[in-house]
Amino acid sequence: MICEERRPFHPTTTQNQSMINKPIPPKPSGAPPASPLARFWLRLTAPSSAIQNNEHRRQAQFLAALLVFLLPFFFLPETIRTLLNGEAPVYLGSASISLSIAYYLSRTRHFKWGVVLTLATFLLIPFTVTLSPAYNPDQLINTIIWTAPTLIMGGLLLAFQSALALIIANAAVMLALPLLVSGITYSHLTFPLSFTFVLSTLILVAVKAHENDIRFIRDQKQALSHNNAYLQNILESITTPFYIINIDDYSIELANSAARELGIDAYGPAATCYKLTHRRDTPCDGAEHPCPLATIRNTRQPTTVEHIHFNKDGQPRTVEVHGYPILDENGNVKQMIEYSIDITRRREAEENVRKLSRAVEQSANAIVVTNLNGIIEYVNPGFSRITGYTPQEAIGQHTRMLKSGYHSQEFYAKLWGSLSRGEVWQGEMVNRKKNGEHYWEFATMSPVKDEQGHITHYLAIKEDITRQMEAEQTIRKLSRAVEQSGSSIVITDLEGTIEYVNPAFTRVTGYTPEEAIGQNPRVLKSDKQPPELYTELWQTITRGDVWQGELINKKKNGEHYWELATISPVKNEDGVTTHYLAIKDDITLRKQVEAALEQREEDLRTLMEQTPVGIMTLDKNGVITSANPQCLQLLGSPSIFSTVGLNILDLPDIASTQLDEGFKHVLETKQPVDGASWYTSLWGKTLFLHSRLAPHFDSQGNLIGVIQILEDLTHRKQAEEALAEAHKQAQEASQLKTQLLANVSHDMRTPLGSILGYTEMLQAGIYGDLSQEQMKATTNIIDSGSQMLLFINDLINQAQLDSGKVVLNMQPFAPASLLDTIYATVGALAQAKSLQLISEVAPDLPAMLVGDSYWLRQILTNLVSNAVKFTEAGYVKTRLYRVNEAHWAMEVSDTGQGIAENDQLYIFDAFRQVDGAATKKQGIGSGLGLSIVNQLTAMMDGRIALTSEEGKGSAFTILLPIVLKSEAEKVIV
Amino acid sequence: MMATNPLALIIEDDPKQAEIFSQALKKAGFDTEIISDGQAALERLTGSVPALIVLDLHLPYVSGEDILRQIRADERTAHVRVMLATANPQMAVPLESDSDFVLHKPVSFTQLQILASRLHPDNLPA
Repeated sequence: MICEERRPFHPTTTQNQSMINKPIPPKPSGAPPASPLARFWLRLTAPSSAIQNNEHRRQAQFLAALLVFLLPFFFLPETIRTLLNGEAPVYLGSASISLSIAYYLSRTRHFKWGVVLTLATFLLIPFTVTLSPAYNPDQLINTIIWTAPTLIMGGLLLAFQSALALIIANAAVMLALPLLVSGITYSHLTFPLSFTFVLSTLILVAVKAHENDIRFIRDQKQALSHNNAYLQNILESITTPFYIINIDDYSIELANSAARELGIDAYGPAATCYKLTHRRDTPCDGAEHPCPLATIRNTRQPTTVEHIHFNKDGQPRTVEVHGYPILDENGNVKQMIEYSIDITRRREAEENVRKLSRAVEQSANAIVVTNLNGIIEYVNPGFSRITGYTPQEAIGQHTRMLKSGYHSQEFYAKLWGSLSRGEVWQGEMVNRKKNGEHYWEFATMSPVKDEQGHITHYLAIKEDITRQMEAEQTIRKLSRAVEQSGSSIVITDLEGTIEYVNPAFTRVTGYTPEEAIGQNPRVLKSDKQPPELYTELWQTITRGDVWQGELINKKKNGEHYWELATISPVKNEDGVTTHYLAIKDDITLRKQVEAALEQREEDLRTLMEQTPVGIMTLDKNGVITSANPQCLQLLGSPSIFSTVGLNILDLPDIASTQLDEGFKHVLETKQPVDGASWYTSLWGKTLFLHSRLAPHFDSQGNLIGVIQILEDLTHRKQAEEALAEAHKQAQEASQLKTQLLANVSHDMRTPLGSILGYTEMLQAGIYGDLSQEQMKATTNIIDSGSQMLLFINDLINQAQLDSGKVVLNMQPFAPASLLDTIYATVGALAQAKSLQLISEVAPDLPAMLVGDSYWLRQILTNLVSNAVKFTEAGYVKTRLYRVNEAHWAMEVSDTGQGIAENDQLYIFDAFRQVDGAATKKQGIGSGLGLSIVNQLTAMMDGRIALTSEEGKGSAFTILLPIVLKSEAEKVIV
Repeated sequence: MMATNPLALIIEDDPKQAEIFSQALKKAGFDTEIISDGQAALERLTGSVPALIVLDLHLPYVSGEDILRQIRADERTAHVRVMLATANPQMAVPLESDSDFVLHKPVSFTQLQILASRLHPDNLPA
């Protein structure tokens, strides 16, 4: 459409003679002359470019050449003659002026006037001579003679093709002059004739040369006409109008058939561009569109503008007009090539697209175009407005970026399924905005198909319906709220006829909606309230005000109930009451609670008054805000008025009671503080008071002060003090007793040791042999002494256990060493009874164990001495062995009388011996031995096992945990 | 015979008990020497070294516990066999490891004799 290079159109390139209605002048001659003189000559004679007719140009050029050539011939002789005759140079001057003008004219479009002026000059100059005062009749003859060739020249100028005929005619006239005019002889003619002859010859030569020139041009024209025909065909074949306009007068210089078809007379005088394209009689003023001609005239550059042109049917068409300047050799714009392309269709299409685009862009709805993969390719501003995503952010993203998570996977699967099948999907969905907010939209999604029916894109038009959805939800919410409200809600018309009741109403009254609707609320009316109440109710609501109050109503089953009712008129937009709305809460329970609370308050009041403890409340500063009568009595206060307002922290001996610290502590920790001290009240009463300071909260749980509860403990305190004194004395006595016991046992053991020792020495024969009777007597001494010793040991051990002084001293010891010392205690007795004492230590028992060897020895000694005591014959065997990984045992068995099964349950009790003849018979022992064993075993985490058969013997086994030295250390560490 | 028996030192303040110890030890084959207070005992121990010492824990001037410590500290007497005798057996528990036997008063004559025989040099392993 647009040339790659748009250059000004030079006339040297092509001309189309057949298409033109005026011939375009070619360059005057072929190749430009080489010599500077020739160039100078051409410049002197060049005709005006305004002369377009070639013939005229030639004439103008010829005239100019002639004038330049001939003028010296005229002026030189004339000048000489004037100077010689001494005449005034009047003729020379006037001729110079008129010929100069003629020369000038010959180079313009008005060259013909130049011809006329030249002719007139040459005709008139000779005659002006006759007007001179020094008139000479010869001079008239001279004038006539000289005028003749001048006439010929004039003729030549006007019709130089007849040059030869004119020269001959001139010669004939000259030759005829002597015959025609008297006074003129042939001698007169000699010089003018010769002059004319020379001149004519020169003219003929010039004419001849000129004719050659013309022939050359004609040949050139013929050659050009071939190119022209070719170009003509090209131009003719162009279907768009193509024409050349003259810059000066808008006239159409050349037009192709498409241009001609626009309906103008191609050769008519009205062939202007504005007539051709705009159907108007004046040039465009450029108001609607810039005139390309005007543009090119200014810029001299090719231009393209859009115009409305009329086609051959007279209909306006939008065209794209291209204008190219054609420059002359001086670079001036001479003509303009113009062609126009009809872009009406394109413009309409573009306009349609623009309209569509504007509609899409300005749509309030969000419009999204995606490719088949759901990737967004276009979004409109509506989309950005709703979602917050700019087109730059959205394009290239998948639509799932809007996914809110509200809908299931199936929902989306269905949606895409419909689209991919080519169906339109429509529905409501929740999407997510850029800022994370959710919104409801009504979306219409449709596949977009190309001409072949293939789906190329998906189009979604989405309307933000969040408001509607919210409104709907609000209504639903309200509706649900009313339906699910715990309060009864009743709506009546203006007459009071029930139109709506909610489920709470049914729940409270027992009336179903079917039963209630259409009824008047007075079905609920009980006779327990005065009619004035109802009158006032109706007056209030009919006035348009809200009524609130408590009503006793009657249920369907006749039961009465309390309700708190708020009845308000419902007004429409105009403020006119259309319905009444009653919201009623069953307050029966509240009424009951209120009654109960009243009772409770009464109870509390009584309690406060009757309680034997003093109760007072203090604010956060310690100021007494209330006090019960007992409190006043305790403090010795004469009245409540003299008590309330006092600050307990200001009391004189507050520091000694530590009440101030307790008070602060309660405020800080909100925990109660108890204390007891002697207290002297402001009124001088001294009491020992137990004081409990407790945090005092209001119903919201805020600490508002302290409650002090005072209990008079004066009597108890006195009793306690007496008791403490008694206890102290008792403890002292107990210590004395323990000390006494220790001393007694030591002091008894020492002489007893001597008794037994000396008796044994007697028996051993240290002091000489004993008789049988002496031996028997000493045996009895040993027997009795031993029993006494065991008894004393038991008493000491039991005394220690009773006093709680026994603390196990866990040390490493050799179990075998336990056996060594027991014989020291019971050996003499056993020997006296001829009993065999056997001891055995199992080899797998660890050589060292950890335990309290002293008390283990006591256990063993007690068991062995017990066995010796109750065994008359046989042996007493002590065995130490390992039971399992964790236990070892001390076993003492004998061949004594055994223990009856019934008695086995009791033998470990203190001071208890087996009841029975055999025991009575023995009559020995403290009854403490097994009890001590039992207590010690328990302390050592051990167990006692007893196996016994009456008459055959008994076996006591003490099972103990094995504690090895390393383990003990571990425990200690 | 006098010169051949090993010496047993009896440190006991109660003369009757000392007599019983002495008789039992003699019967077990020892010569005996009785010392009745702690101070005298310490002085005696600087002299000839006995084969066996029977030591009462409750003594005037110097306690049996200190005497035992002295015996074990002096390398001359460190190896000597010691039998402790006490009326308060709990006092003797911490001393058990430094002694050969702990006898609980009153001590049986026969038993002392048996135990002392065990400690007689003739009956001890070489």
